[in-house]
Amino acid sequence: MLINQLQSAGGRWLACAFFGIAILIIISGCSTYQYQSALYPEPQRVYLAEVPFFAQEEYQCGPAALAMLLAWNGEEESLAQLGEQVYSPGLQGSLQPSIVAAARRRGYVAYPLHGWSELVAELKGGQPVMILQNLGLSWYPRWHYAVVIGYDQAVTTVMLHSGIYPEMQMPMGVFERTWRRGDYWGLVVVPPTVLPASATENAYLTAVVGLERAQQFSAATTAYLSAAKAWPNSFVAWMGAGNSSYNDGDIDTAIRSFRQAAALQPDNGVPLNNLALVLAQVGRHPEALAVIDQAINRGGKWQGMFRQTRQKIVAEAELAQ
Amino acid sequence: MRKKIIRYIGKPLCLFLALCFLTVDVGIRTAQAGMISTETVLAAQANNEARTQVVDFFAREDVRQVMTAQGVAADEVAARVASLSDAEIVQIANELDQLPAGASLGTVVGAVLFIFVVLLITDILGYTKVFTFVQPIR
Repeated sequence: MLINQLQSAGGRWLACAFFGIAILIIISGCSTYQYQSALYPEPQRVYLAEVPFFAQEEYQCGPAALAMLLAWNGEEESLAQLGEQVYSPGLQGSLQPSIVAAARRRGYVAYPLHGWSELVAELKGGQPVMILQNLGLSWYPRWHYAVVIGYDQAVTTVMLHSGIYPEMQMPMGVFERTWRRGDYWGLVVVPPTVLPASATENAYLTAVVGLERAQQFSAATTAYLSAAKAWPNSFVAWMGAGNSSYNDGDIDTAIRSFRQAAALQPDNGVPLNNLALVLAQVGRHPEALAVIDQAINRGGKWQGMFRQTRQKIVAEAELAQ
Repeated sequence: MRKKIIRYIGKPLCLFLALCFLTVDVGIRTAQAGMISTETVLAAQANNEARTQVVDFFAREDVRQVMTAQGVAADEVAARVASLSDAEIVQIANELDQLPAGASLGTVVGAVLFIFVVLLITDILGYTKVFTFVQPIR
């Protein structure tokens, strides 16, 4: 009697367990991972062992992650100071734009990336990547910044400097799901002399425009020239080099860059407009007038502005005499 | 008394105000002459690329067929694309970017229908006139 009851109870447990396992198998079979297609042709394992680690204080994962990327580039920065610029006390967290801005204020190119293939490209190129994860659920978010320092296909883990845990091993599936909820957002921070491994022309130039906006004209000039080296036909790169070096007081580089840009787009008067203003600035008025006349001849939708520039140069030339 | 005052200060006041307006005008003009920023150049290039992409899309043979089947001359729509603002063009280009490479006819039809909707909205606002049945709201 007792044995019978136990046996039937055991059977019930067994059935429950069987049913549960079946559900687990079905669920795990359903989830598809982006990383599979992205990782297969790549090296099995990448590990950047030397990325420094800073343990975060409460809610301070943003400043800590940024400090690690900066330290990797040799920029020692106190967490307290970074926290002041990055952390929003009201949100108990840090917003992506303020992290990007803090890196730019130190003269670094903050290059946002998206998805697995770019993440792997950066790691292969030797850059740790800051990523945004949602460790909670979409309707109950727990946002967290961590730094990816490697991955290993053989044991399907991602290595992270995360929170108070250095070299945390996270299963790839967990990483994939939490990162997906963060919209696959990632960030690399590089000095202006270095081009990120996954950089594309327009995305990189957009990042450097941000550096220029942060008034880091010397760093922006270097970054634009790096871009011009990688993409010699990039009109925007030469325009940017001209504008930033002019703002930095480097007239020679400005003149050279605007001339390059003008040569790349022979029917665009915009580089000539800026070149004329630079020439006028250093007192070379006759040259400036010849250049702006050339711009007016090229025409286009900026022609009205070119005429204004010409008036300005004529007025300045009269004043100078 | 009051008339006297008005007569007394009227002319100089008018002259003064006229001069004020002149300086305002000059102020705006000098603000226009200057360096053209990298940001502007980059935005212009991105807009150009988006525009080329949208125009190229409408030049595709299968897209032309879909448009013709809907009773809209493809050339006419391409002409109207030229009248869309940069923001609208970028929106359409983003939509086109979502198309997988070598997309099936079904997805192409979807994209064309989306552009239909955009053009329909701009028709209603009176920016474009692709569809004869739409009465603009102004």
